[in-house]
This record gives sequence, C-alpha cells and structure tokens, in this order.
Amino acid sequence: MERIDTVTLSVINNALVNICREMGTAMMRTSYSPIFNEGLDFSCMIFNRRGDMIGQAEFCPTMLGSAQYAVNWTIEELGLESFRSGDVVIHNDPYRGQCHMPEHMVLKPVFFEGQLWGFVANIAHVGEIGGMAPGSFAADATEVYQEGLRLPPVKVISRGEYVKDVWKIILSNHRTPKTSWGDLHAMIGSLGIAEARLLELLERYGGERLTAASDLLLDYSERWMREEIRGIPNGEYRASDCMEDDGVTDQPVWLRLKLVVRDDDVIADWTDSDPQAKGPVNATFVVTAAASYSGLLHLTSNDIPRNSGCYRPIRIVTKPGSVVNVRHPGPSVGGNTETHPHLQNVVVAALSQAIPERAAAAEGASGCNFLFAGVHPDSGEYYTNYHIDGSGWGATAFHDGNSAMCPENGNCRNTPVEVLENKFPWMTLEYRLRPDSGGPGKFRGGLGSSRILRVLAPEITVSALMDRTKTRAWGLFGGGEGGSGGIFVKKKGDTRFRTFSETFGTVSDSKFTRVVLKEGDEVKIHSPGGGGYGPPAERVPEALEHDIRQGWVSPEAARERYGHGD
Amino acid sequence: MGRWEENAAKWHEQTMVYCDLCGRIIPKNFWIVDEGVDRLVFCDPDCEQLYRDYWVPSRKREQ
Repeated sequence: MERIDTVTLSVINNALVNICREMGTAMMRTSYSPIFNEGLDFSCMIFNRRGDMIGQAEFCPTMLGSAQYAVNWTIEELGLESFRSGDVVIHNDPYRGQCHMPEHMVLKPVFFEGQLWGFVANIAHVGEIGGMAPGSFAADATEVYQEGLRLPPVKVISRGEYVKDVWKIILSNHRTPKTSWGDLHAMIGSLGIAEARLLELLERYGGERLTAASDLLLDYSERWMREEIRGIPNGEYRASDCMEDDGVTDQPVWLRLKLVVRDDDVIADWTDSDPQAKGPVNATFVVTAAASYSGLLHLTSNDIPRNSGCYRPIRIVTKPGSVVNVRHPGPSVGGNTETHPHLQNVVVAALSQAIPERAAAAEGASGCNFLFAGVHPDSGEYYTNYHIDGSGWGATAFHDGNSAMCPENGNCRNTPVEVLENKFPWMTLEYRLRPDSGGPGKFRGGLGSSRILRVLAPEITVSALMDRTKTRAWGLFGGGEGGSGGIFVKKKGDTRFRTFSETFGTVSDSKFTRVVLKEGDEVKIHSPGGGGYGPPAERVPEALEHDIRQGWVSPEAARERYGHGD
Repeated sequence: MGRWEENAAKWHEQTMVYCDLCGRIIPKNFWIVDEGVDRLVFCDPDCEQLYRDYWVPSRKREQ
C-alpha cells in the first residue's frame, strides 16, 4: 500500500468530514419540513466503491451505524455495474438493511476519470410516507405494510433524468406530496454538493491516492478501536431493559444483552431478548447493530475517526424473530426511535461494570414522538408534522445529565415554539423543564420537559409513540431514577388532564394513533428525566443550592432525596 | 470448508435468508457450510468463524 504521511491523512480525513457537514447544511437550508430544518433528523456520509463508510459527521447515530448495511445491500442487489454517472438511488426498506420506514436513503455514485470511485449518500426522516396513520408513525401497527410505502433500492434519477414513473408512485402514496417533493430534493441536492466537493478532492489527490488514504483511515480507525477495547477488562457483562409496552398489547418487552469482551474485540449477544413484539417496538438487525456501535463509541475516545473501520471489532449476535431482529412482515417504526436508545443504554449499563468511570446512568430514552395532521384553517391545506421532544440524559462520573435533549441515538434538536406556531394551528401554553424529573445523585440526571399545546383548528388528528412513561431511567452507583414521562389530554371544558387511555380508550397510554382532537382541547407532553450518578448525599452543596434556586429541584425533594437541611 | 452461493430467488420473489450466527438478512451472496446433515448459512467466513469460536462453546457451557 502507498505510504501517505500522517499530516496528509489527517487533512484528507477532515476534508471527508467537512464534505459531510456541508451536505448537511445544504439539506437543512433547503428542506421543507421542520423535522429536517429544525430537527436535523438526517445524516450524511461518503462511501468507497466497496461500500465502506469513509466519511461522516456529527449526525444521528442510528443512521450512521446502519448506513453501511443499507449501502452494502444496495450495491449487492443492484450490482456495481448498474450505476451510471448522474444516477440517484432511493431506499427505505427495513427488510433490505434500512433502519425503519421513514428513514429514506438517497445514494449517488461518484465517477472519476470514467471509473466508479465511490458514493455520496444521506439518510433522512421523511415525515409522511403514507400508511395507516398520518405522519407514518403507526403506534398500533402489526405489520410493515401499515407503516407506509416500502421502497427497495430503485433509481429516482437515471443519468441525470427523473425516473417519472417511480416519482409518481412515491408521491401518490404520501399524504403531503408537495412536502415530500421538497424534502427529497433537499436530500438529492445535497448529494450534488457532496459529489462536487469529492471530485475536487479527487482532482487534488488522484483516485488511487485517495483510495489508499481512505483505506489507511479505515485500518487506523479499526486499530484505535481495538486498542480502546484492550483497555476494558475481558469478561461477560450482562444488562437488560424493557420497552414498557408495544402499543398493541399492554405487556413489557425485554431487551437482554450479554456483552463479551475478548482482548481486542467485543461481541454484543442479544439472543436472550424477548420474541418479536406484536406492535412496532421491534428493532431491525441494523438498528440493534447501530445501537451496539453507538454504546461503544460513547465509552471510547472521541477522536477515533468515525468510519466503518471502528465498527469492525464489534460483532453483533441476534435471533431473527426477536424484538432485536424483527422478522418480515413485523412492524418496526418505533424500534429505531424508542428501542434504539434503550439498547444503547443497555450496552452502557453492561460496560459500567467494567469501566464505571466512563459510563453514564440511563437517559429518558424517548423521542416523545408526537404526530399530528389536519387542514390548516388559514391556508385550507392539508398538513402533517412529526414532532419530537427532548428528555433528560443520564449523569456521568463527572457531570450532570443534559436536560431536555433529544435521545443520544438521534442527536436531533427540538422545534422552536415560534416555528411550531407559525406553521401549525397550535398555541403553546407551557414549555419548561420539569422540576425533580432528574434522578438525584452526586451528579444529577438531566431534567425532562413539560409542553402544553392547545388546538386552534376545528380538528387535529394526533398520534404518539413514547416510552418510559411507566418505567424510569436507572441511576448508577447510588444515583436515583429519573422521573417518568407521559402524554395527557384535557378536553375543552374538562378540569384536569387525563391519560389518552382514560379519555379515548387507547390500549396504551403512551402509544396510540389517529385520535381526533377538537378546537380548545389541550395536550400535555412530559418527557422523562435521566438517572443520577453516585450517592445524592455526596452532591456538592453549592450545586444543590443552585438547582433549588433555578427551580430544577424543589425544596421538598432536596430534603427527601438529598437530606438537604437535615 | 464452506462455499459461496447466490440467493437464487427471482426478482419478483421475497425470499429472505438469515445468517445462522448474527441473524442478519443476507442480501444476495451467502457462505454455506455443510455440517453432516445440517446446512449452515452465514454472511461470510467471519461469521462462520465467530460461530465456531464463540457461539458453539458458549451454548455448550450454558447447557
């Protein structure tokens, strides 16, 4: 292999990362949906012609960890010989290496000097793709066919020309085709920018040299990850968590891990997990793989180049037909958003037994997915929207948990109140941190949030898919549990908020679809808090007093949980 | 000794082949190993290796 000095390697690695960042900025600025331009629910990547991911940036770990599977499937199913300059392939099939149905990948081959050199790609959450529930997040789905339009890898652009037949099929199956058209073009447009930047890099270094450099970076990343794993004592570490219900039955579904550290590799063995759930909390294999990678990446050096190389020492073992590897035609839309952070938390919990100083307590682990749709009274146009809220993150050995942050699997942002109210007929009555929702500890868990929305249209149809409304994020090493979340409704004229089960008879309090609310009704979303780390009695008094002054810990909780004032 | 085989399903058929170690659905080319009357299917020789190094011994221990 060609020798390339470390400075050049570093420059090339940073260039690849920056191409991905620029791709993301273009998508953010040109998309139509708040889940794109505010939520940043997308990821951008570069692949070599073998399908190894050689560049990524700070996007969604669920997508980043699973993208190589989607790209590899695409290459294998279509064949390298099928790609032409100017093609764009789309793909969202969870039974062909994708995460879940809303995540759409677009992939563009990059040719240099007449040869296929590699691919630029992004995955993004397309907010409405048809199916049984507006917003395509059917919390009571029992099969993938209810979750929207399933697309195997197909060309939507061939040699630079629209494949109109495919576009017609896609747009005829989405409830808001104009928005899909805009968002998909933001994705495809950003590929054009990435292609141009990658070609500039190829012009500068040449195809062979850039291939050699990216191969070296893959190997370097693998070696570094192996070295990090060598720092973890060999052994078997077990941990588990549950999804509180699956939206169809009111029973918990267990995720069980045996994590085996063997010198310089790790086996994440999930085979003791529960059988596949009836409802959509099932994870696809690639979601479980991505969660396992993400858990390890949280506990190892931040400086390891993020490419396929660092995933090589992490092996995944699952059983098809289980909650961690859904078998066709099981539903899986919640597996990517809700089950993924639970899986990642389980990986961290298992390794907290080996490297406690690097671990974090559990996070709220719910995206608090809230979907709504209707006809806007001002425009007369039908709209749908996918809304997420942040929950509390777990505390660590050196820091309080972050408050009201999108779960670690998503790395997304919330939508500002002004944007929400400007685009949709809701009035925000409250949006604040929830006092006492952070688990007590030497380091406190992050706080969840409380949001109250009032309906300003004659009707809005709502759906939700949340978790940790009955369970709680665990603490570590004496730290306490975070507060549970919840979603509640107050019908116009009622005096208090009630659960959706109490008001509308839904099976689950936290997972339901197609509930019609009327003007003046209110919805309250409580996101769960994160767990604490270390005994509460060891919290620095000044930090606790600051919490009390800020209203994050009530005087009563300070007394009961921390012994403050005793 | 294993051998590579290709999923012979036609384009209009939905035949999903799962790896006997990791559980992943294999896109097209899979690694076949005959073990007496059993036919084991893997993503690649690496999955077969992990099956022998980890899976078989760990299941024996647990039994």
